[in-house]
Amino acid sequence: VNIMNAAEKSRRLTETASRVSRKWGAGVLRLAQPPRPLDHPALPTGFPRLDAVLGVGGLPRGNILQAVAQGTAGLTTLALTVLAHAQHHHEAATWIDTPLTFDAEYAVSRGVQLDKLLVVRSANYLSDVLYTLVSSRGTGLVVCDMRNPAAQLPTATSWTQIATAAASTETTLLLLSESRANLLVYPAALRLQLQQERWLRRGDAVSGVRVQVEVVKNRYAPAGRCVTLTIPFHVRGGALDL
Amino acid sequence: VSRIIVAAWLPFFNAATYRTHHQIPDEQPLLIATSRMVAACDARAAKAGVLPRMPTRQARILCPSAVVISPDKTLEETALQSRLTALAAITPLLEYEEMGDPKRIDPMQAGVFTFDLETLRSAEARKLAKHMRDQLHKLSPAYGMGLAGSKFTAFAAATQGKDLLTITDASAFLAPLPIGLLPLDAAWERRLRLLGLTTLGQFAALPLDAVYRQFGKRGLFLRQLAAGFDLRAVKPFQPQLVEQVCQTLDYPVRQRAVFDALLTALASDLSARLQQRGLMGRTLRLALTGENGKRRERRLTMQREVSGVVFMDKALRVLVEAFQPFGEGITAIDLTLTDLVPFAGYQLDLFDHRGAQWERLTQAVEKLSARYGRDAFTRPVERDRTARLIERRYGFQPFLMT
Repeated sequence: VNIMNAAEKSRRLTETASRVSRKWGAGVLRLAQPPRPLDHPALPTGFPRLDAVLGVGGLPRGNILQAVAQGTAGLTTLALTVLAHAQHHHEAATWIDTPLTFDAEYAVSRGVQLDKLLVVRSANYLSDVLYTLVSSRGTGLVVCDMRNPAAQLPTATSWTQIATAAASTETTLLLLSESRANLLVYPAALRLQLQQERWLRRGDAVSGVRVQVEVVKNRYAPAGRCVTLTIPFHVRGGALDL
Repeated sequence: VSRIIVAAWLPFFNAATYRTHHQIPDEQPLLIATSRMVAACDARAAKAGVLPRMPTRQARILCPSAVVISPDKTLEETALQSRLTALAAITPLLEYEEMGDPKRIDPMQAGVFTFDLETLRSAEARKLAKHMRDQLHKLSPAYGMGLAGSKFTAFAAATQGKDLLTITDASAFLAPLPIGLLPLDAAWERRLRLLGLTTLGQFAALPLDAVYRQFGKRGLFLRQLAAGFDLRAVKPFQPQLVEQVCQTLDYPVRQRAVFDALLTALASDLSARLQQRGLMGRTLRLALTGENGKRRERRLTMQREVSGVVFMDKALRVLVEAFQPFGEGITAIDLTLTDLVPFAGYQLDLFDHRGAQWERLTQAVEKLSARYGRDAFTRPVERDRTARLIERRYGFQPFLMT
């Protein structure tokens, strides 16, 4: 009877692991460990109340995060505000614009510095683009606007690879998607659901929007919490949570 | 040894605050109202039929002799904070809440102070409660006080309006009281009344599983309260750190330049005070009073705490822009900074930080551009800010050109 000893088993396991890692990327195989604490401070969203609800003081770095909403629920505004804060913390930022709707003027009005921003205007090859950007350590935050039904989205396996790359490079990947599309990215550490409550009016003019944000999934703190945000339209830079 | 909780119930508490501040005689009815809606009123106006959230026009018809004052959140908060600070000398285990659900109209507009005297001996607790009563009598002429072993029972005892009602048998005391005393919203109360439940005793007598089936977990909690079991703790009072500067002007200011100079002076004053205390703050509130006595307020939360005059001045400019044009002179400026924290330095943004990270990003874009072409990887640039067509104001240029 051929009984392998422990050293032989260990050698074979190491070989297999290195083969899998070569084929699917470094880090796809990991030893089971308790959840690691955040090495770096979280990325503030610009809304102190939302930061408090998220449990770690903002968006956890090195993770895939997903924000889901229907139109006019403040999703773009929230993403631009996060992006402005990331730039404020000296992070290069990237916006992947699959629906080709990026509004530079509105971005500036939310405090985004255009000279420190890469905008990828394509709905193709997303899997490769995301993996290359995330694994390059060249950007601290990647916002991927996936609200284009024709976009070539990564497969489940690719999402896992991207999540692994994000974890090792401390890059935050924020995905924006529509609730109609029912696109749920499994490795996402955080999922936010935004819903418009009402428009804020001053006289006849619309001055902002009141939005309810629900934390549907959270790997770092209890999920299920809700917060109501007031998003004014007229604010330029600085003050964001009125 | 059971706990001793003292609750003080002060009807028309908000109106009493305004009456004291504006020194309005006791015999004069009082309305706290905007031009559209009543926010609060005193007992005399309430007797005439005035209710909160009633149109001001209707309230004026019901009570024509009433003095009308504009609501002032800053005054309410400041007065409450100073009262809580004074009462915290008795015990820091002190809570204040306005009665019931905020969506419901409370005709008595009461404020409730709850004190936890922990395990003090009964005689001493009564002595201390009398001392509290003397303190609270200054705040509101009408009041009720209750002493019991739990928060809800003490509150229910206080609402009876007695000088100091001590409860030893909670369930027997609560049984005949109306079910409206529970913290219910209007829909819940209606539902209970439709089921024929009008007293706390009737609700407490329901079987647990029936309550759970009908009302869920919240129902079980309410049933416990109705039966006299209330394990909720009184949250310790933490004084809110606030810095405030006010300026009342001798003549109304109409010129923007003068107004801006006044704001800068106030910001400078506020900044000096903060730096003296070693604090910085995050939420700035600016209240302006017009010639007709109308007060408008705007609030701004900044990205980070500040104490410097330059930042404060900049934030004030943003706040001023948020006001609609006044169309009249300004007679008073009130500037408040809250969310104060101890001073801490931070790195100034003096240098371009596009160092190694930017280089790595450029390399990644070079790789991607080689695979998929340069046109998809862009940088937004300003073209003509004054262009009438939005799409001409900004454009995109290939990222690698830069």
